[in-house]
Amino acid sequence: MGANNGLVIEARNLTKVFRDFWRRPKVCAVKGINLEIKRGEIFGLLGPNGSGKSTTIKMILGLLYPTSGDLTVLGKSPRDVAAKAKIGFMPEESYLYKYLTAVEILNFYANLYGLSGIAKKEIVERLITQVGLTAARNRPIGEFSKGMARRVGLAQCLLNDPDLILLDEPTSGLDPIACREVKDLLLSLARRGKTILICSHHLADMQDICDRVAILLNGEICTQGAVKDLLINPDTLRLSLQSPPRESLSAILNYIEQETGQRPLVDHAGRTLESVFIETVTRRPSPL
Amino acid sequence: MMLIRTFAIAVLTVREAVRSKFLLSLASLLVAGLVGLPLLIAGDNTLAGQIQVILTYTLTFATAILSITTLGTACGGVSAEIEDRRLYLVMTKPLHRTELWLGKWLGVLALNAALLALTGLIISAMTRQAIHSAKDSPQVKRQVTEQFLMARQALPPITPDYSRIAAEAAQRLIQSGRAPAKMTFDAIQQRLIEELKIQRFTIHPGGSVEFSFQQPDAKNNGNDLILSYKFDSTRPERSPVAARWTLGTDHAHLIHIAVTNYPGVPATLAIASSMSTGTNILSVTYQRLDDRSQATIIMADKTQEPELLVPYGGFEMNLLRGLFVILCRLAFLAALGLTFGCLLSTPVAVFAAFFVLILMASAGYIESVATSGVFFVPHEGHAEELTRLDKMILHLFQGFHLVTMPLTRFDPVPLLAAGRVVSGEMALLAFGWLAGLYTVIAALIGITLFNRRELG
Amino acid sequence: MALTRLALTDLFRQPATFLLVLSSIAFTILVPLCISHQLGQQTHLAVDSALAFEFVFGLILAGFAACSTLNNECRSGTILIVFSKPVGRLMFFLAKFTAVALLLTFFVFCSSAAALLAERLAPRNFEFDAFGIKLLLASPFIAFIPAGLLNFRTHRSFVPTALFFYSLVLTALVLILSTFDRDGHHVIFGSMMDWRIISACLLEGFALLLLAAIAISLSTRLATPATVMILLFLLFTGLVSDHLAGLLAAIPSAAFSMQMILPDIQSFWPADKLADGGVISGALMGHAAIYAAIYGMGVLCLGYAAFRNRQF
Repeated sequence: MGANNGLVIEARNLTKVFRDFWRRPKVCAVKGINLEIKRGEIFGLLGPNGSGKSTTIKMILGLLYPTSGDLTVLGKSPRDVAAKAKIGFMPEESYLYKYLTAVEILNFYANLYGLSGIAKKEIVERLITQVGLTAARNRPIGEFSKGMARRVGLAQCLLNDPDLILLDEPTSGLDPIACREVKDLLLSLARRGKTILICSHHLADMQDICDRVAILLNGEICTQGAVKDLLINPDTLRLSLQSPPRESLSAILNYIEQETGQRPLVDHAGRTLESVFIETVTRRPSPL
Repeated sequence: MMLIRTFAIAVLTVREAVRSKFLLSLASLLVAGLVGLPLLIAGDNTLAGQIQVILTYTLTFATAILSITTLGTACGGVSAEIEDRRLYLVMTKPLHRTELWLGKWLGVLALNAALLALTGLIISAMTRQAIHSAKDSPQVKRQVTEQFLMARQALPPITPDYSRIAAEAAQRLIQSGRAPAKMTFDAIQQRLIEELKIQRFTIHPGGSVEFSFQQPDAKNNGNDLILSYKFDSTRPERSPVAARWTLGTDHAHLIHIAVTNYPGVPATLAIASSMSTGTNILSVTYQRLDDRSQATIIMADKTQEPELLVPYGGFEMNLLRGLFVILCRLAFLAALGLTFGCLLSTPVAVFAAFFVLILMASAGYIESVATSGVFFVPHEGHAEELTRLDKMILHLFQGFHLVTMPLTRFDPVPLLAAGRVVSGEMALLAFGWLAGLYTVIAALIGITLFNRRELG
Repeated sequence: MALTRLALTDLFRQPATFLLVLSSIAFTILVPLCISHQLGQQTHLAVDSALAFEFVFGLILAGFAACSTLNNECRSGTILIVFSKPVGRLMFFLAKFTAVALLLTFFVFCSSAAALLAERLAPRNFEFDAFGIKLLLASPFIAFIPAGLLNFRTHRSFVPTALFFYSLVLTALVLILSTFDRDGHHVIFGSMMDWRIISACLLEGFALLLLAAIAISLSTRLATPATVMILLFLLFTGLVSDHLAGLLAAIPSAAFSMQMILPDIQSFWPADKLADGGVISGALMGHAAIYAAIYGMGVLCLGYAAFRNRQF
């Protein structure tokens, strides 16, 4: 594993300043952030556009170099190539070679991880099936829809059975079913001890799967903590029950009002559009 | 592991070129050019001229096209992938930037090797076909085959011991008291050497000159020897000069051949293989047969003496060695393009790379300035003085010359077009200099700076 | 109008535009200085090489600019945003062509100034124009230092500013050298310049606009390398069209088709017309302009047809 004290990513006063031609500071994209992500954790990086999320991810991947501060990934410098053997990354856009087929591109990335022979073939086949691209496995990426290309992006991210998975907008471009599948996959990976760092605008998705989140604003972390802790409102309680008969409900409400001096709000438990969509679509077979 | 990754990048580069139809387009362009150019360009209506056109223009065309596309492909190979961010994903894998650079380089080289193989096949087929289908007599066909479709090694004439002859003459001058008072022995000897060289190649009307060649040990297998020569006239008019070559071994003159040649025009003389007998010295004497009203001619200058062209090997093997040398040049260009592509955006990288290509195309001019020291003409009255600007420019040109020198030194096209041998030694040296030293220097610069570059 | 302005601004900000224009100027002025001492052709060589450089660099600039402004937008998908607005394809296509044409007009202006300077600065009887060369060597500093300072102080983009300043400095240089002889003495304005070069450059400018029309039409489907290659091929075949016509003389229909399809580049090549003190007549200019306009419009129609049917 190679992590420090169970920490997979550790950032201390991490700062990134972009400079102009004259070497003058142009933009301070990340301002001295501190970050600790533990093994087996799903960590969400939230924030509006330009808040420094992508810059932070790029520094963790060793694509950008920090201006100051310390950053270790799996106990090593992000520029250390050996550390990358344990990292999987799925970018926001599918930066893939459009003339290659899905299988060819996965074989190519597998080669970069040093995989070969039967092991490589097995992994590629399993991932192709897992992301639902069996029927389109020999079509060039250039002919893929955005969602299909994202699936290839997800598959290449898992080729090396990574200890650390970095996902930039993982559900962007995916239909709700695929979205649900990805979220389930991520949860199962976390259960297997994988560390996952997600960068996304889809707050509902983040709420579904993240253990902890940090909210970035103008390059600084404004809020950081466990999702449960952040969402909880200790002054309010919610009571859910199957719809009782009208008389019973009235008696319950009267009792609560009598005991607490507050008349509780009553409404029907809502369904999410996601659940309605999944229910509708799963009745029909997928055309893919 | 490193090999697998490097090989994966190389295969990807080739696969992209094939799938995007880049390779097909380039191959089509090459075929069209190689086949079309000899049809477009008229020779001198002789078979020899036609073969020379085929060899010169097709090889030049293929070299130029492949140089341009190699630079373009190599530049775009990295910079375009950075711009469209495909490289972001690749560089998040456990891949050293050295491996990426090397893989791209190998990929571009593999494409070039395939295209050069195609070029070689077409040129070989076209030359054979042109000779086969020509309506000339079998004797002419044989002569052309002997001249072009055979690799020949050029042997220079045996040089007299100028130093010894000049030293003896200088000694005699000093002893007889006819030497200039202020001149040292060395200066007199040097002056005499220069005069001897001039005398050796100067032929007055009715005069003659003799050259001796040491024939190689190898048997010729019935192939003719060829004497290649060229002379210049001391007068501006270019009237033909009538003369007679007398050929013999060990001074036993055997054959006389009358010739008429024009000044400044390269000429050849076929010498039957029977004249080549083991390790004999072959003597050839050029006797002018014209009258005294004709101009004095100079049989050679310092760069081109008469040469005896002796058979060395087959055409195809020679072509193969020549193409290998071109591949070495392309290897260097690919390295250069990749280095620019690692540092600059695509259009700027292409621009910079083409600037280098122009520099290489101007290698002859650069060499002349760097070696002659003449750039700006010195002002009158200061003939030997160079200004600071002159010196700066000369240093700049000497720097350019250092870079372009191996490229001009390893140009196989004139050799192949003239039926001269591209020696194995030349191929090895080209490999060492171009695909080795120069490529490594370009790679080191490129990879070092690429490692410092952020991909954000 | 807004589309043209935006495209033109983008083109002027491209480093490749800057490099191509500057290289053309540098080659135009410096090559005669470098090689005339060897060849001794001097002013004649200066004019010929200047016109050749204008043609070649202008052609590459046309190909690059057309693909940069049209093909790259198609490939990157930015065109979809434009088409989501009330913008027709014809208007878009013409706006892009206008932007490329304006860029080439600027290029022809700079090339004309450079050609005038090249002819003036070329050595005569192996003697250099020391006065002019000193001014020439100072010119990049005069243009680029203020542009650099502006960039430093106001963050204004360096590339277009430097290009604009350098065009001004070149113009000033032409005006200054028009009033001084090679020893720095005052002379009647213009007496030291060969003004015929301007009409020659203008004639080539028509050819470049024609090639710009071809380039923008090709760029609806092809990327930069292919477009530039085809343009170079057209230039080459145009220059040897007489020879080609001779080869195809036995097949009149092929010769006729070739003459109809290939642009008649030779009628735009002014070097021969300037030789031995000749001038480029107004009739010739008018004929060339009409030919370029008709041929260009025809090509643009074909280009638009290709663009109209393209799916994104």
